[in-house]
Amino acid sequence: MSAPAMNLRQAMKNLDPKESLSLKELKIFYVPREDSPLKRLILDLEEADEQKFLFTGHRGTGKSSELAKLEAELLPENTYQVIRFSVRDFLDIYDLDYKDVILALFFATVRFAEGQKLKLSRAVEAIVKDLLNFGQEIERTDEREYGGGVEAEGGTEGFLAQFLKLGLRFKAEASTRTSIRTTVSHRLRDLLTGLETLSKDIERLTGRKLLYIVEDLDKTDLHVAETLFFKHAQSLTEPRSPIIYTFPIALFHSNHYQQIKQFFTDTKFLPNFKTKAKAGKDDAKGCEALRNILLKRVHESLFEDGVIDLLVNYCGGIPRILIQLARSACLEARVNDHELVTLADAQEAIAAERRDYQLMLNQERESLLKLVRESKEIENTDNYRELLHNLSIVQYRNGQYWYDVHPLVKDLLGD
Amino acid sequence: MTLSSPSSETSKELRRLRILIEDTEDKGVLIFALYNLFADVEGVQKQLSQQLGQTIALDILEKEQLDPLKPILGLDKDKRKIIFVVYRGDLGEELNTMAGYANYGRELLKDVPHVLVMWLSSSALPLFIAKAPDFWAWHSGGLFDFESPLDTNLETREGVTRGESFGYEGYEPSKLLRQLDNYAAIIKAQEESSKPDDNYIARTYLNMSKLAGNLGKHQEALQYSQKALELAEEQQDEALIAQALNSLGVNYSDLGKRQEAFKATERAVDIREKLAQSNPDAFLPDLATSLNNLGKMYSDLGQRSEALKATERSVAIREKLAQSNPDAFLPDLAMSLNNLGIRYSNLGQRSEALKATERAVASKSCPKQPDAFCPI
Repeated sequence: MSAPAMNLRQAMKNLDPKESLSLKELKIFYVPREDSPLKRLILDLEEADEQKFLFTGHRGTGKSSELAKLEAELLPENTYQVIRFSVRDFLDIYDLDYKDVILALFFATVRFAEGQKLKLSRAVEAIVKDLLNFGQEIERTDEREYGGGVEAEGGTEGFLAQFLKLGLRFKAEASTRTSIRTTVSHRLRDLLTGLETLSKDIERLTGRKLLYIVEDLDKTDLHVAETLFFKHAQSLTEPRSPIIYTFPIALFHSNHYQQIKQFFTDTKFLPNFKTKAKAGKDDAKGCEALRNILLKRVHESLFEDGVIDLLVNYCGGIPRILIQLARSACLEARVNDHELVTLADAQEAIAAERRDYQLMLNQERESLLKLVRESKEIENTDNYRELLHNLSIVQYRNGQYWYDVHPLVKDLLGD
Repeated sequence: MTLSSPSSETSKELRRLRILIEDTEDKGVLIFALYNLFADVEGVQKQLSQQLGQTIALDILEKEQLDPLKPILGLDKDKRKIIFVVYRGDLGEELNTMAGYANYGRELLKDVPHVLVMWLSSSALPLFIAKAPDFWAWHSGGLFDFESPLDTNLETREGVTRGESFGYEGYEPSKLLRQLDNYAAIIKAQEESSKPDDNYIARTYLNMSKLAGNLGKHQEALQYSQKALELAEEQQDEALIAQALNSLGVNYSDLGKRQEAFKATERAVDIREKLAQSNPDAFLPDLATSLNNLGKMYSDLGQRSEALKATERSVAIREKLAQSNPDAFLPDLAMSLNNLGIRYSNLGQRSEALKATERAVASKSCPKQPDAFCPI
């Protein structure tokens, strides 16, 4: 990737809403965030072992990039060995329960050990073999579907690879999930003990403490997340190592949150960038940070005067929306045969991005949004949560939390 | 919307789509598009495929296959493919399932270079977004609109045929008002920019005039057309002047100012006649539109024979156009024939009136677009 882009075509490639920052890309694209909870989180981690954190923020606000940054920050310190993974790698996020999450921690740890070619102890080998028996039991119960039993290869590495294959099947096959869950439910204590032994072995071999970062739990269906965090919070906090779980923002605003938070050390909230203060005045620092996010990807010379400010103003402080708006503005410029993005191109892009919000509005929602526009507050009801969920309402923080209608939506409301 | 003869806005959407696909090159890209008739999707598929010189696969999501990412699975990662996925199901559990697949599987898009264009109706899209917010969050280029008659060309608005659809019927006034606000914002930005594009501003004013007219704000519509005319005259752009005059004629007619309506439309006809002489392919359709409207203006002034002549000329031109491109011009021909029936009827020539009306009905029964012209 050539950055910052010096022409619109390259700019379109650099502005991909799908991309979160990898460890490598952090060096090129990362913009420090004044309100980031990372520093505080690192300090908290030093205070005690076995801490469990929830990490939340709006969709598109840069949680994955910030967690990648956390991993990068901890790398040179030699204190933590971070295992950062997405639950999507091992689980069906629309069909998961707390046992699955413990299994995913186990799968991720095994994948790490396999990737690092770590020579694990005999105790761990025995545990993995034992867990493979979970799989063998499944093979026997459903042979026609899965074919022959697991062929154990010689050596620990063989078992790790076999175990990871079992992980893939656990994700893909509902029947495998059901069978393993049944086994695990009888032997959860064994699984937790196994995970502890495995993590201790890795800590011995790497000389670092393990820290898990579990991503994408915030993307599960809200009901699934509610069951997971509300009913089984205790189980999620049982593994010995420190863990950071991503957490749905909608649950953060629900009535259950007060109970959920008691099980965890703390909830770290990654706020949106502030483009305006609550009173409506421009927030210079927030705007500057967002400008920088854009300018790391696209050279300033590709924007007519005023375009960057306009895009920053309309993104509502959400980096992904800024990236989307900027890509659309570059597209309009290309369509209009311009060599740089003009104000008119940016306005067209804003109008195009606004259309989807337009479709979602109805009279009832409009009334609620008008109330928020005036009061900068929300009520704890499903209707408001839905508007937060679809980003029609955005949440900011300076000292206290406050809310506002997303600027793209504000234009649709009228008086 | 007739995609075989796309309006300027539709052409622009197509161009946006093509450039977005071309510029993202070897990266996976997710695009959302709105459609009304399935023929719209097929039309875009055909034209985009021609423009890109590449085959576009089209998959329909139905009860048996509701995973929008399935068409991408197993494709060669070295060769970029463009896939249209069209949701045509009902809006119940089926939509939830489809959205669930999409949200769950979205990571696949990171690993492939393919272009996935999701086609939904405007009623399905908000429900889809609510169920698959993470998938939706990765879309590019805004929402591509191949559905809305808001995008039809101003020139297709006939100031004559009462009972004909002007393209806005059934649309919520609040949406039209918002669109009007969007246009106003575009003009404001243009006027504040260092190099305002007056031609673009004039065309935007004409779109605003059309919207305001359909909201019943005829005085406001007139003002927009006047502003467009001023800008067009400053630029000495004859085609744009004629377009603004035509629009002005419609606005005056809506306000009951028959003389002014007639004068503006007559001027539009004069200009378009000259333009059509030098470039018939480009301007004969516009001339037919203005002649059709002129027929109405004459009729309103009680000049029935003149009204008949203008309408006959409009019919004659549209007959020729429809012969070479029936998909594009048969609906217009039907409108002019319908008007011709009214003109004959006004002159007491009932058998001629009947013939014209029968031909209008036959033209409307365009077999290639039954959905559009055979409303049940």
